[in-house]
Amino acid sequence: MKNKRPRSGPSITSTLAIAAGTLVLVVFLLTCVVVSYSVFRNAHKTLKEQSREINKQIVFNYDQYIQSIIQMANYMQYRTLNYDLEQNQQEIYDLFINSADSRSDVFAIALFDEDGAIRVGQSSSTANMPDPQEIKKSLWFYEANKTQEVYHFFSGVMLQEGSTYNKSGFIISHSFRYNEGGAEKMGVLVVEMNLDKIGVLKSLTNLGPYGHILFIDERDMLVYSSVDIKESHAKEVYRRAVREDFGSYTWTIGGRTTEVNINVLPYTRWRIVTSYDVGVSGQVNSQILVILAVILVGSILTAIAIGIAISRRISKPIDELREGMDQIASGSSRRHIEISGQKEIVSLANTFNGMMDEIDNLNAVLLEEQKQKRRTAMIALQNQINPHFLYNTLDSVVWLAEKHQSESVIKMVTALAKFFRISISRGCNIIGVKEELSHVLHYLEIQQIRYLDRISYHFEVDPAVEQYQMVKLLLQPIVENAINYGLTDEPVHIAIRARLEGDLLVFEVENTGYGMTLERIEEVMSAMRDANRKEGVGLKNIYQRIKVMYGARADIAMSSELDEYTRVEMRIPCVVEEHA
Amino acid sequence: MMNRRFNPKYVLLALVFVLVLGAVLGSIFVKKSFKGDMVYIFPYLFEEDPFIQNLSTSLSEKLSNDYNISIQGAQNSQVIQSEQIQEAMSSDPLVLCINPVDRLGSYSIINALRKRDIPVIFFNRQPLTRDLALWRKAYYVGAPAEQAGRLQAELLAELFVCDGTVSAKHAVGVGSVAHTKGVSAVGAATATDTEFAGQRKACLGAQDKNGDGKIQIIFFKGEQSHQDAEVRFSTVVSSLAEMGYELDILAIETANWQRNLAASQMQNLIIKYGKSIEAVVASNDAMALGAISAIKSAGLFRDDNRDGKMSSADASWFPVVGVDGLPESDYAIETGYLYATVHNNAEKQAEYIARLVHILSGKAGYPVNSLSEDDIRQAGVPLEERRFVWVDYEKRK
Repeated sequence: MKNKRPRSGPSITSTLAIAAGTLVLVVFLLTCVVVSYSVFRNAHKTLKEQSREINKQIVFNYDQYIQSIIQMANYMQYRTLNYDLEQNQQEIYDLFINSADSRSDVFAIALFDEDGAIRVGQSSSTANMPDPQEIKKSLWFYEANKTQEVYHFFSGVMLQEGSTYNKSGFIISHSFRYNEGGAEKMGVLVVEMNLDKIGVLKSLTNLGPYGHILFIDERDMLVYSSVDIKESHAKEVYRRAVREDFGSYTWTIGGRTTEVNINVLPYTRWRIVTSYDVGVSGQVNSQILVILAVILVGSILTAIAIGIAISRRISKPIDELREGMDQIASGSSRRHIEISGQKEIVSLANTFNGMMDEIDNLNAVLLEEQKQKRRTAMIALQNQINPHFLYNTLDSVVWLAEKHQSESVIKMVTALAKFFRISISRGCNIIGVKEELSHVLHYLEIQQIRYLDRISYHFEVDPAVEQYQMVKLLLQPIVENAINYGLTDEPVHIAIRARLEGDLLVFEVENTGYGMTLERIEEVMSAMRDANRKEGVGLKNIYQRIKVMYGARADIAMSSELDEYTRVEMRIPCVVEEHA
Repeated sequence: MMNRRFNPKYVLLALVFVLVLGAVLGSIFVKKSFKGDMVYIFPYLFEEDPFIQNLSTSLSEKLSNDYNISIQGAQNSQVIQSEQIQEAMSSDPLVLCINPVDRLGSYSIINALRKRDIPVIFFNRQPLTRDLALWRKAYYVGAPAEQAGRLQAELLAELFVCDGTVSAKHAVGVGSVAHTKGVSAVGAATATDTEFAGQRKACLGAQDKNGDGKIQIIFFKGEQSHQDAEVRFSTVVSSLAEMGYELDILAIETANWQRNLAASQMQNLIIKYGKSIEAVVASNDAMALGAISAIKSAGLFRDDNRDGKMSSADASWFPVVGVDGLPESDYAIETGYLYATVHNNAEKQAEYIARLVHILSGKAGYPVNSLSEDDIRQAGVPLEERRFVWVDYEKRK
């Protein structure tokens, strides 16, 4: 049995807990991957949109700003054409001065003629003007003449040599028509700008702590930076931006994510770079990741707890059932298992209880049978050794010996020896019918000597019965009874018959004497059949022995005729020799 | 439970998982399906500018058989156009056709396209020659902006002719009352110049209604500070000056190329100057038509000679000149409200652009990477100055 027991898997509790935990883990991870990806993606997209919108607004602001400068120049052109430089010098001069003064971001405005000589400009600055030949060679002068309809923007140049104006700026040049002495002439208008206004515009927008604006000219030179360009973040943005022409980029600089938009600055060939600081890159992500991890651990633990709880509910009755069975198996007095719980478990317990009841019933029957067997065995043993018979016989032998009837002594002792040999018969309970009959014969021989021939007997035996076997010592007590009841003042004659009736062996022991009434016979028979009554011990023993050994078919019957005989009939099934 | 064999159910489950995962991630990752043979058209405006709309639509029709066409208006914003171009560049287009919002902004665009080896044809607004020279696959198709101004000046000159007669209109007595303080500075400046003024006074003919020898003129410009607007405006002024006309500029209005804006501005000007207006010059037809609708609703023009149309023969009439030659302008010319326009030949420009697209995309069979000017001329595109294709303006009246 033990070898064949199957290997047991993990317990129900751990199986369910692991299953629940795994399921939650898989579903959660899948959800996390998909959700976080789309969330990050949307967040980034939103951020990008946001930075683009901010950038658009900034570009729009600077667009307006540049337009306002151009409008001012246009206005000056329009007004100047109504004057003549010869006759209205003061008016034109005032126009220039007023235009420059009206704007805080204009440092100077000057008009150069086609030879590069300054014609109108702030008097204080004219003194430091470079040589007209130098002016004519300068790029701003050349371009303004070459492409007349366009306003040209130049950074990194200052109009005046040794200007005390320490802030950097840029200049705008444009071809300019003016009347002089009645003739229309072409010159170049130059507006020198500082960066005050550009800085003010920057402060209107929120680009984050590291956000900033850069202006880069067509030669990739830095025109303006809203922060110190030596600052590493801005420096890096500048370094990367000059490699790009325009567009939106996401750069990670110094661990910070920066949305950079590079745009054309309208009316110029410059680019405007807005750097929108998103924050320390990965910071948002790690924060979310921590939250996700907490949720993950929490939900797995919850799932395992729920799994354990569920499996406990399932396995608790099973455990109880198992414990009950173990107790019963180890021999506890407990016979039933009382369990409440799932239907299946309860029905299992009920079935088990029914089984236990059945086992108990069978056990009780078996126990009773064994008890009976033991008892009959004891009786048989008692019967084998009837001490009184032995003492009486030995007394008779002594008595015969004293009378010197040696013949009788020899006969009696020989019969006694044979009698005991069969009684003991090497411990076998079953003997041949022939031996049983000879046992009775020896018994009768002894009794005949003891009772001094007051006993006579004869045997009527069908030779066919001799081939069968039977439980030993059944006949002798009946014969003993027959002598006890039949021996009166008159000698008694005992007839012993044996014959076959179908498959039944029939033994008859008949004695002469007073006989018995029918009532008496009934009484004796009922006493014999009732195991609990104490009287009629001899016949009762026989009856119980044949019932134990042969079952219902064995029986004992009595019949009598008053003053004639009393007959006991025993029927037992024919049994052929069972063993050697 | 301890059975180590693969359970087919688990395999199936895993498979379903993988498929679902793949589908979800796939739908996120996969972008718009790729379209080959893309040609983009980027007008600076689309619906609001009929001329550009005509040109773009016509170009699109010519190309749509051979390419996937995408037209994207920039709402007159260089930022938007830059975004559109950046997007287009990432889809590996064959050719871009760009009508730049800002002429100077083309500098960065050309640089970017050169780096990615994408051919580009600019139209309607001309990038600087030196910028165009940066990229050998960059071309410009358009009409010379100065020409428009010059032709407008010529058209006016055809009207203000010194025929030696004193205008009948003078007798009507639309007077010098119209001389307002707004232009007194001009008056002051020119009054000293008696010699010139005297000459012209007798020489402008009937259209010089007040006979002062100057043209009382109103200008409608495009966007303030916009280069094209400046060119058209300044050349008409300078051309008239060259031809010896003296202008009395009543107003320079900036109507942003838009009809409605021009109409409302004109309404105010009519109230202010009324019958003293002698000419209206608009930098495009849309603004000219806007001005005309204001003139119509004010009832300024009267068909005095009852010939069924407005003309110089009618005393109340003055010339309105536009640029572009829209289909609607033809009708306005017929009825006489629009004196003339300078036809910007959208059809022809579209044709040349389309031919260039065929050449640059390689579909015309010329070697794209070693194109010679002769190749392009051979393909029927009149190339000039290496990268320019000029389509002349034509007078229409």
